[in-house]
Amino acid sequence: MRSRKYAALLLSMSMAASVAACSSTGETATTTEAGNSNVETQSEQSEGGADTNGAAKESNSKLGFKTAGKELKVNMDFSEVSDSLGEPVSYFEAESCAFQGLDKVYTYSDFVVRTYPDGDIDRISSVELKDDIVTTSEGAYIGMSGDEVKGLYSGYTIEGDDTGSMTVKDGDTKLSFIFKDGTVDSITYTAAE
Amino acid sequence: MKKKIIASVLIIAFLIAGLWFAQRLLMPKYMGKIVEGAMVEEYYKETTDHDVIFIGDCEVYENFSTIKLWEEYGITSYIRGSSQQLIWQSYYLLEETLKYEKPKVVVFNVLSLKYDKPQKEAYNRMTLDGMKWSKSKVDDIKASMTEDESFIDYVFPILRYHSRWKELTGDDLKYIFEKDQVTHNGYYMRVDVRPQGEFPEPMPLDDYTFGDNAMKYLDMMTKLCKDNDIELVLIKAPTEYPYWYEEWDEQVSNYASENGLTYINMIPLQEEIGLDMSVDTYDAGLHLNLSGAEKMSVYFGKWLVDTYGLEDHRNDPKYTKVYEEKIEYYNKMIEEQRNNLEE
Repeated sequence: MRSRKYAALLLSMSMAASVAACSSTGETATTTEAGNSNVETQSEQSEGGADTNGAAKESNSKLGFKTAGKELKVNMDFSEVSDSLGEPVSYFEAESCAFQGLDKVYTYSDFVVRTYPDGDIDRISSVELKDDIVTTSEGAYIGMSGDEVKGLYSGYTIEGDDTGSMTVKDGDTKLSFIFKDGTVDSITYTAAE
Repeated sequence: MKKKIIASVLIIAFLIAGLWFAQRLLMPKYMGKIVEGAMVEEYYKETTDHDVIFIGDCEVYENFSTIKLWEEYGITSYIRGSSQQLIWQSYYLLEETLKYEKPKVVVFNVLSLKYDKPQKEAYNRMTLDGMKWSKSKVDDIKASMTEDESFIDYVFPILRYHSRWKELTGDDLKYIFEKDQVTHNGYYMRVDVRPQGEFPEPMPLDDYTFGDNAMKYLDMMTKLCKDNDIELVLIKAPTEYPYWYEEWDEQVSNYASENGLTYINMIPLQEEIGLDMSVDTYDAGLHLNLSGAEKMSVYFGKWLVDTYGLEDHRNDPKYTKVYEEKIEYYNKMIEEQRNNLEE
């Protein structure tokens, strides 16, 4: 009789430990799975993509690129804006290792959008401005001087200078201005590290 | 009293066995579409040593045929590769490998230098879960974990995979104790063809300098090889995407010169190797297929023999029987994959 009680006690303790373990990791699992139900399916992540370091989430940055009445932000679901952008000039997709997802590159006439797979969602990994017809939401454009960029982003901390590159970081987004001969030669929005 | 103790021991043993079984059942088996998670553990089934060890990401395990290296030159080799294998994972896999054997040459693909910190749990799991427990594995886990991961989940994977019970399939039971062989000495075979198209222009970076953490592990790898009298060869696989920037190439080249290593960027050598990217790739130029990997092996194997005088083991009885079986399985997989394509 006592043996049975002892066995029941042990079983209960074991089950309690298991449940506790499940509970304590439940939150972590939800966070890391990013909407997927297990790690194997989560492996639909990109090798060719950017250094994204961590689970996907919606952008928490003020930095974004406005075009066609929409604002493109890093980590946002690209399908929310893609219809408004019209047909890209060219499209490229690359399978990731251990794959089921695709890295996608949409080249429009004045900018390029790159996405990474997050389950069934394609999230924006970067936006690259290609010519001076388009500007950042704050008004920066290719061909601008370093001082002009500093003036537009005076409310932010700016790293670097116009001999190489200047970067502005806010939330999960890094806005980079790459200089050539003292003027902006390239503008990209990517995930901040 | 004695009965009570025996009963307690039996109950505890039963519970531990039950939890162990549940853990085995719930862990991903990587026997379906994603076989890459089953690669790392296959190494422990090897019965003979290897003169050459490749370490790195898909740019090694899809681009070199170890069986072709044997058939052409009698080179014994193994690819300790895994998906998005980060450089600290390569280091610790190499450190672990050296506990089992001492190769003459280690070949490391440098693409992973672009990552300076942990990336994705899914890829971590595909490399780490298959490793046997050792100090190398512990250090590897610590170096690899993202902010959302915890060490205890690697010690007791059931804590991480418990929610998989809803998705268990027959395969989870079928492969609970024994998995199918998915590689050929680490080489992941694909016979299909999808010609390379045009790649998009590379995105300019604000800083091309490799991160301190990544370079620290390259230093450690260099030292590990030197301490063990092993030749370390740095390579960049011949595939052009993901983009390999000139600035990165220059850094690796300088590092190799400063440390007395050989670095071979194979991208400009495509023609010399004999690669035709309209037929030698299965995914539009990202990775090589069987014909591409075999061309790479013929080219690189000759270089290895010419440079390091590697021994031809084809008449060595220690290896012949083992490699006869490996060749048989290799040819069987080629036939099966080709038949599947025709269906």
